[in-house]
Amino acid sequence: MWTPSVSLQLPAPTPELAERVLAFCRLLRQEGLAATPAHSGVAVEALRRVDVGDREDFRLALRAVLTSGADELEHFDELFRLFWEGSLETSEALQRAEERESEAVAAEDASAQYSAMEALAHKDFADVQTEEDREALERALRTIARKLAARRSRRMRPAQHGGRVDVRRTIRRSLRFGGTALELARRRRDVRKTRLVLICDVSRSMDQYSRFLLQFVYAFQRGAGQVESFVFGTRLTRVTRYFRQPSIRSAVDQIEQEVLDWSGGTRIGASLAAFNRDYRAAVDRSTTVIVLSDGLDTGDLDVLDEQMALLSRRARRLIWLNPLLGSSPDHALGRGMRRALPYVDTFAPGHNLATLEALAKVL
Amino acid sequence: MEAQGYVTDREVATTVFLASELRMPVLIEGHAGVGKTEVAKVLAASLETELIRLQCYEGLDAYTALYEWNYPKQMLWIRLAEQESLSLDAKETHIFGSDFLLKRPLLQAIDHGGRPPVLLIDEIDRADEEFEAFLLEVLSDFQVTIPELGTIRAEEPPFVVLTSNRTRELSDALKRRCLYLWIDYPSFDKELSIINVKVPGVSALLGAQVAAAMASLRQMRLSKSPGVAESIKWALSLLATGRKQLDRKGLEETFGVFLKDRDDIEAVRGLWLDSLLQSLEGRDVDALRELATARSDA
Repeated sequence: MWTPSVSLQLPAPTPELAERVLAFCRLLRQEGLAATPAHSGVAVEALRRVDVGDREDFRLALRAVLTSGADELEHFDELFRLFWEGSLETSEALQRAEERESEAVAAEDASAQYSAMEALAHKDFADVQTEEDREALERALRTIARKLAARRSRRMRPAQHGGRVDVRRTIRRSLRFGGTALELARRRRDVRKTRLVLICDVSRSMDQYSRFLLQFVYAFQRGAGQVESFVFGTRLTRVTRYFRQPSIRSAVDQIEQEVLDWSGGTRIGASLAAFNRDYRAAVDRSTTVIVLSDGLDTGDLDVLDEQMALLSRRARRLIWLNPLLGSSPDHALGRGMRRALPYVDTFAPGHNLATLEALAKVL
Repeated sequence: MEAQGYVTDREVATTVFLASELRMPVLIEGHAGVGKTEVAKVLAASLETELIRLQCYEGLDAYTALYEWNYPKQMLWIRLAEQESLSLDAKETHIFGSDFLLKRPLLQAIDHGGRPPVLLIDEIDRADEEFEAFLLEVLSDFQVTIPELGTIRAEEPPFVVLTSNRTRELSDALKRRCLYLWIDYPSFDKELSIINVKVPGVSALLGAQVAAAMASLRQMRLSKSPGVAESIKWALSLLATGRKQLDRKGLEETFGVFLKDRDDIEAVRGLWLDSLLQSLEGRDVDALRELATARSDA
């Protein structure tokens, strides 16, 4: 039998325990895990079925219910230890959660003079200061996304002409004529968006551009169908889920808080290696990969070379956007960039709106 | 689960147990070849019920997954009924009746008499988002409406296992509905016992050498790291050559079994072969365990 160490005659969790489980779920939510209120009910149900006296069964049951991704597991375990094994009142995580909440309240109060957009403007990418510019920028980005997107999907839609015969509808029509197919119903491939992978450099040398480029990535993801987004400095992080939010501000803010290490150098090669290793399947022959980086790699350039070769072999198209190419072309072709360039299909500046619009035309 | 030849650990056992108790779908993620699909098979075997598998791929649509009409049979019947004085409506009703329905996996799992089956939705990440939304609907009420036939409801909902290789992130709605299980590469001991269970004839030393070699390989920057399935295949091929322990010739003859990428093969041949052989040489099972464990900690 595959049953773990449980029996179904276990007592139900006490009301006190259920309370604690609810509190634990609140903590998880505050810490950014996806545990919804509905989950707490399921968690209590789950605890009825395992031996709550056994710490490991207890932890595993909660973990199965309250996590929903590999990236949450470590965080969950840490919070589990704090909440169930440490002292609740002094737990650092809880304090952090509270601080964050009060900050949020304070920020709302001051919202008259202060907006996250203005904070964004502290980085000196002058072009995106006004609302008008931002909107124009996003329009342009959506255009690019659409151009990149014109690939036909395998999904079929009914059609008047062309395409393939739709047997299902043809048979149905033929009934009218005693089973003779006088009219062929047709279907053809639906035009659908291509797959895109965006890999954005957010290291210190890209400081001026990274907030802007994150918006770029955001617009891409919202404008196009299947997009996977990643950022890297010294290590690679998948950020697709952050951009699912309706608000670009909170998406970018959250990434800054949770993901970025602004301090380190740039290890493009190593980051691409991590990408090729862990997310290999995200790229197939229909995928366009866009790298946004100044190419100033402080790591091993042989690694960069080797990983670019791998990536370009797998992708349909490899585009590299380098802001330096526009702002200071003399520095755009650093040693790292020169090693990467042979594998790049399209090399473009993309440091302002005009160059991005030009890029859309080329595409 | 052990009885079915699946070497399990508490994480897997507890999650699968809860899934069957709470009747919730379980989402299993992990690297390729760690035995995600196997969990569903073993679950079906231990519940003594049928396993229905839906393999996802890009472009998979609702009809392919749910049902299709048997067109040739419909056509034939129309021909045969030509002489009969049935009304058009009667003909139409007949050929869109259950005799002409081809059930695809999802409908099979829903319209199922007897014990609820295990429904394995394999590599859900390869289907597109529209299909995922459709699936979510099916998973929430286990009923489908076929315009020509009416609504079909599951007497007892099936046990659902979804697997994903994480090529794209799944929707939050789907993830919320499922229990979550991450299956990592196995520890040295777990891998060794898997090899021993699956490849009974292998010597203790050879099994340990394979497990240690795999642990070391997974530390390398390979484009396709070998999973447990590869360990088993490798152990089988070494066994087939009649070896009791690993040597250079055996290694060179067989490493195509666990490496699928030309670049990987070259990298391994150039960098890894010699150092691996050196590190394995003269070590017994315990020493190999130490070696593998130290490596994975580092």
